[in-house]
Amino acid sequence: MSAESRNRLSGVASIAGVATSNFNELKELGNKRSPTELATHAIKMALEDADTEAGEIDGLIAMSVSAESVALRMGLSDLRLTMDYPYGGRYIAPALELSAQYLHSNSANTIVVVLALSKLATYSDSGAPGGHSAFEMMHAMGGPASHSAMMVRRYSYEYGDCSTALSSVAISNRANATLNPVAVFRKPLTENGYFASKLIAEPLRLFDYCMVNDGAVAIVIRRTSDVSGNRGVVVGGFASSTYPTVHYSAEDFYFQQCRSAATSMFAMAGVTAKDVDIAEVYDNYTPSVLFALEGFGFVGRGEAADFVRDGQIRRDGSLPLNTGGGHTSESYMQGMNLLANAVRQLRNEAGALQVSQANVAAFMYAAPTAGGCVLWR
Amino acid sequence: MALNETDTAELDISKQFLPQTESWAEPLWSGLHRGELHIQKCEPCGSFVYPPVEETCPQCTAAYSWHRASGTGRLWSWVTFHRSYYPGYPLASPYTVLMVEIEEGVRMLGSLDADTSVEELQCDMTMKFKPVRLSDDVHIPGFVLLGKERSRLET
Ligand SMILES: [Zn+2]
Repeated sequence: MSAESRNRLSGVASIAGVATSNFNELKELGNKRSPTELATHAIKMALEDADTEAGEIDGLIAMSVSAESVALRMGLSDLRLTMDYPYGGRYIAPALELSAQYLHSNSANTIVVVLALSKLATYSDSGAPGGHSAFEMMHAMGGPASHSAMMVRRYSYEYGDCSTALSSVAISNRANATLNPVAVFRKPLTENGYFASKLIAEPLRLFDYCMVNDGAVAIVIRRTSDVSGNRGVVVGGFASSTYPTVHYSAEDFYFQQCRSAATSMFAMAGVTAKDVDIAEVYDNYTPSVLFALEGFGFVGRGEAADFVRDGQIRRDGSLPLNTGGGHTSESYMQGMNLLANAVRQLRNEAGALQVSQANVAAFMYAAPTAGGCVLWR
Repeated sequence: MALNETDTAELDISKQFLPQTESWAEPLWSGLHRGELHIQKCEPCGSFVYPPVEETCPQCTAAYSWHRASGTGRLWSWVTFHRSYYPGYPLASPYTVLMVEIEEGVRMLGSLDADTSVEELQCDMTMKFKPVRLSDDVHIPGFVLLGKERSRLET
């Protein structure tokens, strides 16, 4: 598809409703619910939010949970689109693009994207690409985090020590989470507290890591022209780019795939990084935030650490980032909770989390497959 | 790789932690026992590959042949694990894993040999290949800081 015809999908789809589990409550309860049950619950709340009936759903994209199981439990039928993705993350931009195409061609009218994670589930969320993990195990390598640790050590060598930038990301996320009633970790985090935390895969510390928790996120997507009222959030652009790597690390900190995705995504949306008011960045580990800010063009190469240390990503900064607390403090719903928080900000319905001037939001992920989307009210 | 069939502890290390490459990667494993790094090379297009693959070269579909690498490389980065995540793994924590770009142009993982302290490491240092021993029968790729390596005869 040419860029021109692809760009016609800009604005076709709108997010009409969102819902997330109460992650904090699930943690307190020591959740034992299946992913299907968590997904169903989130979908019902998202439908209510979208003022839509379950019978109208004719598309279901399920991440880390079975679409058929969810459809069966909800009594859905005659679905024109069902698709299972093994996790969220890198599949979010493709899920939005697929949804926009189905809506554009009238193949479907009401599409739900749901992600559910439960300790009862068997899906793996290692995120490790390629088939070489066996050659990592003999070194007792701990998966993607180990490679993120290697990359950020190299990044510090090339651009200057960034340990206080990583702490700034973790602390900013936590500061947002203290205002978020559903966040898992709400206890304030200080710089001393961060540096007192144990080293895991050095240079990464405990607070650089996303959590593992239970919950679900659902979003309802409809044609923009079909969304009644004033609560729809327009999906203005999306893109994904893969540059495969033998291991999870990349010598350029995923710059080329981020830049490729950013170019397409912003061109499609007709905006630039400068127009973005809030950013939601997939923080599987805190270094990913630095890599994404540079790769998606919010700062120059090697400039992300200073940007973060200057407080620019805090809720009162020039680019509030991970407004609900991100994956390190709110919940690790593999990007979907970040997307939900962007929608709430743009609707001006984020309660205590609301930041001023939230007109355009970008959701982004930096990894061997990078991607994201641009949203506006 | 060759295993002592009577020693179940050895079998466990191999089964748990080593890639099950059967016979096709034998030159890698036997090379490690001799202290050498053997990687695959596509003769027609001159490209090297590591970790080893069972497939043919993606560029020209020629079968790979095995080639002894120089064993010298540049340290790209490293990570140190402060606890043991895998029960039964023979190396005590903290242990360090390096990413080294060897002269043949391939980036590869290696464990840090005990002769080099992690405090001595800096990115872009020159490293020398030296297999790390997991047991009498199991050696894995590893590196030591150039100049720090002792000969196998000394150890
Ligand atoms: Zn070839």
